[in-house]
Amino acid sequence: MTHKFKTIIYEESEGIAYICINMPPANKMQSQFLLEISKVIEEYALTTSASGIIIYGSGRHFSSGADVGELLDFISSHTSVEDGLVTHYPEWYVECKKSFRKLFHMEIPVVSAIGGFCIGSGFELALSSHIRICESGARLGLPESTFGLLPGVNGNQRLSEEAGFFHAYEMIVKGSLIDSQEADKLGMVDLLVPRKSSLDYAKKLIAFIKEHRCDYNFANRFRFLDGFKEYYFT
Amino acid sequence: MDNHMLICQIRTERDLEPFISGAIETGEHNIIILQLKEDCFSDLSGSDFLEIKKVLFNPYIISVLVIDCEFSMSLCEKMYVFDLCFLSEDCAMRYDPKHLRGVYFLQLLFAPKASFGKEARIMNCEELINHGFANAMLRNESFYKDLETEMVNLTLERTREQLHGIKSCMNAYKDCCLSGKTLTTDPETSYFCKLALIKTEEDTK
Repeated sequence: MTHKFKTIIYEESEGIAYICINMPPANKMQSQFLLEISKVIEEYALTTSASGIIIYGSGRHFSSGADVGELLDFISSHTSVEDGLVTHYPEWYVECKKSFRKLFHMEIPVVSAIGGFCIGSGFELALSSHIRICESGARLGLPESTFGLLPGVNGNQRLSEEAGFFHAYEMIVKGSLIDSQEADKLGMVDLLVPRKSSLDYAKKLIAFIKEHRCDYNFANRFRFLDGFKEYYFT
Repeated sequence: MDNHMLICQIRTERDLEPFISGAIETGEHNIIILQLKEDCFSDLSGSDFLEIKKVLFNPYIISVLVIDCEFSMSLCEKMYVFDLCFLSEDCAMRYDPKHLRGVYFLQLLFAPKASFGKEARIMNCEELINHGFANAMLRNESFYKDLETEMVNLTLERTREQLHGIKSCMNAYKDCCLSGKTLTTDPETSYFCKLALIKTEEDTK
């Protein structure tokens, strides 16, 4: 089963659901993507009978993040503020945040296969998955603060949960990008693999979890991941 | 944003008194650094600690802990009131896996994926950094220069509103983590939209 959208391809094949960010070469996320990803998550991913979900980018990069100029126009034309308080939020933005959160709370493994750039909203989408498999040479980060913003799609919370508050605060305020080794050291990714192999390992991981999955959940994901590492890497 | 740092060396509990009594005058200082020369933060009573938390949790202030002494696991229960943590070369932690609250805080807030092991031992600065315990190590020979460089690099070109937004989000998440409650209203949504409006307004000027 395949559903093609303008910016995303959703596919279910051999018991695995794939969400492919499809705006090569950089997979820059425009507002169209943010609208479509909520739809794909709500209408397909959340109700899938697949054994796991893999999120990946078409081509070399996972995603180079949002198109900031377009995003700012979109946000400012749909937001109302009175006396310093926001009284109306852009609906698509709120929906996008909600759908990322729902993806994170799914009971089947949600795995991001990361290569190349994984930046901004792209990294926030990857942080909405349970496990991040990252290729060497990848660059990750939340540079929103360098554009006068802050991460807006649950990135502040999710990065703190994965890397601890001190490292998350530093990375968010600085807005710096780090390489895959550093991201692994800080706990922002869960498995480092050679270039062009993250998708393959993501498939293997889901098959591995399926084999032992009687009690898979987010909290015990590392039990499966440790077993997987032992099986494939030792 | 310009940095105005206030560095307080803490050698005894008395040095914390201005924070507890509310007498501390932060004035223009937007960065408060507590340099622990002795581990006297760990044993603070609950009410004194809450007073210090009020000062350090202020979203307009960046609060920084510099650990420059040997410390116990009890410090892990209290260091969440800081935004950043640096270690001196000579600092060390008396790691004790039986200190359950310390281990709990360590894993919940600071090094969620690190495994410190089952063996009680003294962990030196290098080992702590390798476990992701703190942001960075400050070398003895250039301690204050390194600290200043870290802070300048951090806040360079960030606005007051941005820093306020990021810290407000972090504070809310820390409180949720510690209380075990689910986040009901995420401050990120509102700050993101407000900052987007400010940025758009600036860009059109």
